[in-house]
Amino acid sequence: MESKNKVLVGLFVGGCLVLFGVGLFLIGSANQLFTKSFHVYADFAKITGIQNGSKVRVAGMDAGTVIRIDVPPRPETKFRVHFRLAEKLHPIVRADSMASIQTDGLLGNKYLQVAAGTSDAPVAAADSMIPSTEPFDWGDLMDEISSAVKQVNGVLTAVKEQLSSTLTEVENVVRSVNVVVKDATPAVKGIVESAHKITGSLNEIIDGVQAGEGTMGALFKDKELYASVRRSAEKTEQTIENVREATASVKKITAKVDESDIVPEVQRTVANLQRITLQVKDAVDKFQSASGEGGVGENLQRTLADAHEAMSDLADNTEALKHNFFFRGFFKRRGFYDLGSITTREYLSKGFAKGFKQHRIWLESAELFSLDSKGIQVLSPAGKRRLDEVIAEVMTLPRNGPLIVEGFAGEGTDAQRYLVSRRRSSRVQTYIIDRFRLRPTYVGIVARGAEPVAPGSAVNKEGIAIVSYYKE
Amino acid sequence: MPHSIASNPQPWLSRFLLGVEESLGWFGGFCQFAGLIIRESIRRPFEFGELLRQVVAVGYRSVPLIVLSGLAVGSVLSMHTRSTLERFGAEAMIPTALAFALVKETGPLVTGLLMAGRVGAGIGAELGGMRVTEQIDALESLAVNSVHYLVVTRVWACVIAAPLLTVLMNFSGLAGGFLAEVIVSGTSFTYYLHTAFSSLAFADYIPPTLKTMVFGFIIGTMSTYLGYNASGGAEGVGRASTQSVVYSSIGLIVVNVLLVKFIFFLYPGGGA
Repeated sequence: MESKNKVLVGLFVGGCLVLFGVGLFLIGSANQLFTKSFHVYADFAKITGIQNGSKVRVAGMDAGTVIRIDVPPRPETKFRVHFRLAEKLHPIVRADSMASIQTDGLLGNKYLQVAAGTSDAPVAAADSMIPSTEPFDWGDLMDEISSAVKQVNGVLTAVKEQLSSTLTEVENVVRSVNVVVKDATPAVKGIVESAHKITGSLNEIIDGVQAGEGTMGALFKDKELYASVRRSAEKTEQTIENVREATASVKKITAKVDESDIVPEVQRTVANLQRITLQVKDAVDKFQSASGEGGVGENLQRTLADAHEAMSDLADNTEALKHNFFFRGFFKRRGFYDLGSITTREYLSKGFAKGFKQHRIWLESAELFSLDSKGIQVLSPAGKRRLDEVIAEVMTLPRNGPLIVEGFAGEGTDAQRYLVSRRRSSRVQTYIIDRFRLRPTYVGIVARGAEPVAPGSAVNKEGIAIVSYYKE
Repeated sequence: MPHSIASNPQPWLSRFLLGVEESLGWFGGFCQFAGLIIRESIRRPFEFGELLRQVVAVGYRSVPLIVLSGLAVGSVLSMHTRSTLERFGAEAMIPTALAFALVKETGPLVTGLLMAGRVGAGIGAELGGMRVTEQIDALESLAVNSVHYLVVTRVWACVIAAPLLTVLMNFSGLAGGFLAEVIVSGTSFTYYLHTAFSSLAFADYIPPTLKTMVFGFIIGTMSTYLGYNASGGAEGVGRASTQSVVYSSIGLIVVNVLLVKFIFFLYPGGGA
């Protein structure tokens, strides 16, 4: 019985001890305890959880364990981590193999990673140090991010303040410019209108002169007058020759003067004049800079006002010229002085475009206009195409007389009809001037309100008529 | 001393103090008994024959229970671990997690509890029966040291068998986990075994295994103490048997806490 017990106890104890030994062997093998190994070490400022027994991997392969960690004696020195590596991996562990502390997975244990070195470097000697890189720490990263965010925040705040200040300045500048432009706009408009009017008048005069009309036209066209002018020119040449001789005489006199004491006196006088001029210029500059509100803007406005006044005067003069004895014959014969200021009564009078033939084309409002989003009549695309066709036809006629756009309207009071008819004719006038590059003085408008297009005709009263006056 | 406590005017307080007094008396007797066991353990003659018989009874005869329990515990642990680690895509960690759980805590504790249930109850009933049938008195009358012969051998049998059964439990558990893994993922035995032990250190394996010797001592001492001091006939034998299981289980669970802390103290990076 006792021998049987011994067998059973031997079986039980022996079997369990063998299992225990197998466990020890497996753990030892996993930790490279039963393989030939060599010892190296690396220094780290932070070891972030590495401890004795932590795994060491070479290029990802289990290669050994950490066997000792030397705590630094001073703060400025580093931890020294001693570890053992399997001898079979020794050939790829070189002097430039880099040791780093890694995490096994997202939440796993820390282990020491040794990268395989390069072939150029020698094999790492036993008991030698291999280089290391400091471990990545989320805490450090978060600190850096926090610091960076603070800096960015500060920069943004500064930029925001500067932008705000800049915007305020820009707003002030815009306000000032707006004031200047607002002040200058009427003046500029006046100048442009005056220039427009002058140009138109000059064109008409030149056209008339070219046509040989009026006194000046007659002057240009008259052959006797040409001969007379030529004679005058010959006389002028003779006169110039006389002047040249006189100039030579003056030169001689000047040479004589140069020889005398008068020249230094004159030079001194010129120098004095220059000095005085500079002083006057300085005084003017000081005056301008000291003028405060009366600075550049006010000067500009003043200049523009002067220019406007000058242009207005010029326009008046031109207008007066048109009524002058020499030119008024031309305007009287054609029946009007200025299409821009012609009245309906003048237009309908017998004197208007006397001697000109008339070519009239009627266009209904429905085929020209449409209403925009605000309910205002504007030229429709189809209407513009229709006008293009009509004006192309009119352009085949001689352009030696005015082109009149007559506006008609059939609904509302007399005033409303007048306004609507004027607006229609004005829209058409603007379009054809821009579209066909016509002279503004060539195209006039007449608001004929609710008048019938022609006595007895059955045409619709809503629309416009384009009338071209010409002489063959 | 009892008179002074009983004379307290508050009945509930008197009962409480009497309970505390009895508990302290019982614990003092237990400690005295444990000291007696240790003292008797080093005294000759050593009862090797009886020790062998007790090792067979305590250890060898527990093997089927431990192996089957280990297989079941291992497979269940594997299934639970898989369902948890699958969420993180970490199925490869299952053998490692299973080995950690079994070797470091589950194996030793489950082995201790199973021994408390099977061995503790048996020893308590056996010695209790001998006490109530005056067999122990008969041995004493024959000048046989009953503690030396009956108690010390059973306690040492528990101390010897506990770590051995723990090793058996660990490997059975790993085998159960492997079977569960093979069915689910078809993993290879080599990969499973290598992965299971790759993250373990000696400090994770040896201290938790050896701490079960303390479990064995507690189970043996507690059950022999209760059985040796049983009284009241068959009812007393039953009470001794039940109390052996309960007190042994409570004792080893409580002591396990202290042992884990002690092992952490000895091996800061692992163990327990």
